[in-house]
Amino acid sequence: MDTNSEIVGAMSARDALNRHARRKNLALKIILYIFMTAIAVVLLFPYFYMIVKSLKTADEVDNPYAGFFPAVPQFINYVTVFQTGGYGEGILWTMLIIIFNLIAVPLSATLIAYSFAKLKWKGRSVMFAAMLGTMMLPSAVTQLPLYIIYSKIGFLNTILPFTVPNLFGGGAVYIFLIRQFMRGIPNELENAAKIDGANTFTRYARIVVPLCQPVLIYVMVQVFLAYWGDYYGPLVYCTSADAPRPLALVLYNFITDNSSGTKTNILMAGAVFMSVIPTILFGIFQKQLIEGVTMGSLKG
Amino acid sequence: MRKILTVLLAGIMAAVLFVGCNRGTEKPGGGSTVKPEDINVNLDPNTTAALEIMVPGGNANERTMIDCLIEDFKDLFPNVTIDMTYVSVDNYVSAVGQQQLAETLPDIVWSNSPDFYDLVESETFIDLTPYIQANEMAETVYTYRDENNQPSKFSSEDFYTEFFDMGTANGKNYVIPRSCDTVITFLNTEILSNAGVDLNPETTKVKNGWTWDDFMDVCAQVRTWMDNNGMSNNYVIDANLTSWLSVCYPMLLSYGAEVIDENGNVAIDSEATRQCLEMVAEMVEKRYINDSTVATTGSYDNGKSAMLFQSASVSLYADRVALRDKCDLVSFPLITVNNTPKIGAGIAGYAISSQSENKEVAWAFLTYLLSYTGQQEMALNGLNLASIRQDLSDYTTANWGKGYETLNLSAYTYGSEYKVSADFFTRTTLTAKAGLQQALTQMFNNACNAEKAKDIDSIIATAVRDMEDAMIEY
Amino acid sequence: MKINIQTAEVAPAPQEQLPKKEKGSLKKFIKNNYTGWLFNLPLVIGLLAFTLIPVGYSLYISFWRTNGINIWEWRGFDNYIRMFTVDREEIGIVLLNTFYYVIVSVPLGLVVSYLLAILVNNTIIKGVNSYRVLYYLPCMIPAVAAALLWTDMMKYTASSESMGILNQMLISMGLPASRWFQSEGPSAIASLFFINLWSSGSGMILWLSAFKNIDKGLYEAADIEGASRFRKFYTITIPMSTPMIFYNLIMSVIGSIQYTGTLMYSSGALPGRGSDGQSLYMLGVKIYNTSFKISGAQGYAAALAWFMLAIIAALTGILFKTSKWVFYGEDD
Repeated sequence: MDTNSEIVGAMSARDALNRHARRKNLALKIILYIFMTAIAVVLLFPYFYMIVKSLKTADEVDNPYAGFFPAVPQFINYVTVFQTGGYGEGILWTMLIIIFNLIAVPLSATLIAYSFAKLKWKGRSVMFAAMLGTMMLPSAVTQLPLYIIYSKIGFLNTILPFTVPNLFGGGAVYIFLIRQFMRGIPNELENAAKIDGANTFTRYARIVVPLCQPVLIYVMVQVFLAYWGDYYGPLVYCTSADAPRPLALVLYNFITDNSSGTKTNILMAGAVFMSVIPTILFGIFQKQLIEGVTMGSLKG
Repeated sequence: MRKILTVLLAGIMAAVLFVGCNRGTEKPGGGSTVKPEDINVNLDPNTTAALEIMVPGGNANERTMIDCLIEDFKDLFPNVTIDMTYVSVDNYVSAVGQQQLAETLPDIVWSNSPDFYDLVESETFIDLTPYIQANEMAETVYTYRDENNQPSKFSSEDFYTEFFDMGTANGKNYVIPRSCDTVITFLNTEILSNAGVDLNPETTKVKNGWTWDDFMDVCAQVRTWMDNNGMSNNYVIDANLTSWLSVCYPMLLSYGAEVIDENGNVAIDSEATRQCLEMVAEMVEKRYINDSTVATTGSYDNGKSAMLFQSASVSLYADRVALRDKCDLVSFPLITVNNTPKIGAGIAGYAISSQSENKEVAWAFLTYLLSYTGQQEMALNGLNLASIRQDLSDYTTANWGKGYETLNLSAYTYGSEYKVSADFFTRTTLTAKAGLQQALTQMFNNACNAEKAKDIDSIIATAVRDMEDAMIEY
Repeated sequence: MKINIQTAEVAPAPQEQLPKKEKGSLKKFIKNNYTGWLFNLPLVIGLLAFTLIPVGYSLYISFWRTNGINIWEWRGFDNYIRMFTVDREEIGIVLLNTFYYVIVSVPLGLVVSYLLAILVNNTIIKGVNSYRVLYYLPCMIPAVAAALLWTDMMKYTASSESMGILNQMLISMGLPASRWFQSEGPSAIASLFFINLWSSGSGMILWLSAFKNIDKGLYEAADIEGASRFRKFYTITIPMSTPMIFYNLIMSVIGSIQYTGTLMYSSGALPGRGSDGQSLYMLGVKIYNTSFKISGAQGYAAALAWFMLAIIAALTGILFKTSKWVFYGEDD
């Protein structure tokens, strides 16, 4: 129960005497249900449409007179898509990038966040300000120099541009979120360990990081989503024909230049696959995802 | 806020100093030219080297034919290994530029016109003129194999030289053609005969050297037939007009128009251009080609259009399921309005990277590619395009026609005198190429847009403006 | 952003007592601070390697005509001047599109997601939680998949039967079919606003968390005074969520100026003035094109990126200057 419910509760109690008002409340309820369901239908229609189209045959996609629904759902399309133009390979590259980052980002970001949240050292606020400053810097400024630098050190046409930088914190937002969360962990816990002779690293690894689990789940899911859908990075750094192509780039190439003539039903199957995985993730971690924002919120 | 800015500024200053110290000097511009007499074209067969060759990744034919050359080359130079890497054609220029920047560019690189113009200024490829001269000076060239697979005398006269010219910019020859690439008309004989077009070889209009008027008559016939048979959403021809200079530039020239004049000025604003665009608009209006704002569902590839302007290997279409036994070809229709008919052509071939450490071996490989044996071998492995060699022009005996003898393959070699490539880029700064190309294709795109085509003048004005923009140096 | 820093600096900070003792030797400084710096080391390296050096390098090449390979010609401020002279008109189109996108899409996104959040924050009906999930689901479609989907749904063809489903709907309602993002002028970008509405769910979640953070005592106090529901919303909910509004505003503005999503909707290689796809030509796309599609223009591309940074700095500056309406609470 949150704030508004109590208010409403109090209100309806006050109005209980009035039958007219109660009826009015029922009407309001129905209207709200209809209204909210209507919005849901509108918002979910594209998703639904994408799934339906992915189950059609090639002929049904081409034929304008075929019905909205496929005559027989073609689940085989989901097999075909992975035999088409680099999808199968794409998912491997995407997973490789994601698995690396799922380890690298929490590891480095907690170290940095710990130094901001729990340690006292000269230069802390300057570093913190510098970190936040990068949030304002458009990536366009660094993209060209990074491209040249990467070309010189052999990063181009590999997955290194999407992995190595994440060994160094993985982005100001994540560090900031974890720091906010760590500040909420009482110092007493650490002090007790200090008395037992635990050094800083032990306290960080044994006490603080395990307590950070909720925010880390949030960060990891965000990292997953970010690299799952990232097409722009690979578009810039992976242009050679034998370069690794993550799933998102494979799909992007199909959108901008479908010279192989892959049919829409197969493309849609790929798109559905790309959307279903995040949806499942969201289903599992729904609570952390919604609360994660709360944790990082501005008053934290 | 102020703190952030201070930190940022301090960091920037530090970084500027840092890079400034490292990179204060201008890089010297490229390598010096090699003298023909210094080039060894008869290398020791025991030479040891490792070469890399870059081919378009999406083209299976290109891979198989280079593969067979690599195999053969191993017999000539047992200690030379050649690896193949791939480049995507869609972003060819940036991909090659990227590899040059990273200094990982292979020794031999597939290239084509007009894309190679983009790479002239960055000195990506070497000038092959001295290498050709060196070949000519030698008594015989080891890798220049004749029909008996023996070393023979190299002569430029052996080839269709106009294609070598298409690989030349500022007097330097950057790309060696691997075949004669000419725009021809692919036909879907089934649709044409259903539409009542006379295809009898004795009496037909659809033969090499047919004119634009003949072509338009055929289009009208097919359109009527399509409309009467419920195919109103199909179009008569995949003209490739809006994206491909090899079609639209020769059309302009046929009408007597110019893109860039000899003094390097934009010359597109002319009555001839207007005439040409009006004809294009007419084709859209009569629904021979699709309006550029409208997506089509059918194309020549899947058997739904009657014709196609393309330059690709005949095997690429004749072997398609949708086109089996329905495919034939004929030359590009001649536009005779101005008595200057033109047929689009272009170069596709190979260049040697300026970063290569084995330029002579790479040249030996390219020489083999040009030789009688090399051309014949490639033809057996996917290159069903007219050979670049004059002595292999007869497709009934040369390998490149094998399996397709019943088709009118002479369409590829018809009309040497009409052939022209999009070479106007050399008349102005080469950095303008991307912008000029964009402006020109955009102009045709607009002419194919029924809405915009009402005002041809403004289409041309836009093109002029965009071209002039593109020619301002960076 | 400012809010974040505030929390960081205003927070009771015991560390500020430390420096006084540290007036001693360097040794002592290291002894007192090495753990902190050690833990912070990844950030130090990361900032240096992936931000500071690239930023400096970018500034440096913005003064040259270069392709990064063999051409290095000193240009001084020419690249910056170019934007306002020879390239003026194209920059004008690009800026117009970008600002149009920012000015409409940011407020529209904020308002729509705010309304959604209010809607799913009610307790009048049961199962409101599942509506939150449903509204959030469209945000789970990655941008590329969404582009593919919307391109298909908005397809425009000659005959009405083979149109995309949205146009078929329009036709069945007796309206003319639209070319959507393929059209010219403002309506092209307007279809992007339309598409963006489907991902209002992510904004909604942010608002929900802001509502959660509002002190319940405030509502109770208002109840005692007998305030109406509307009045409570107006005097408590909105003012108390202004920090979040401000944060969202800043981040959306910064993000929208850099928008490169139109790359997926107009595949024209180099949309210029009067070209196909110019209605979707935005600053981020222009920088991408100049950087990677035109040889020898990388110096100019770097200058454009700095121009973008200047715009972002100016806009955030204005937003901060006019941020009196943001309510930071009594103080904490």
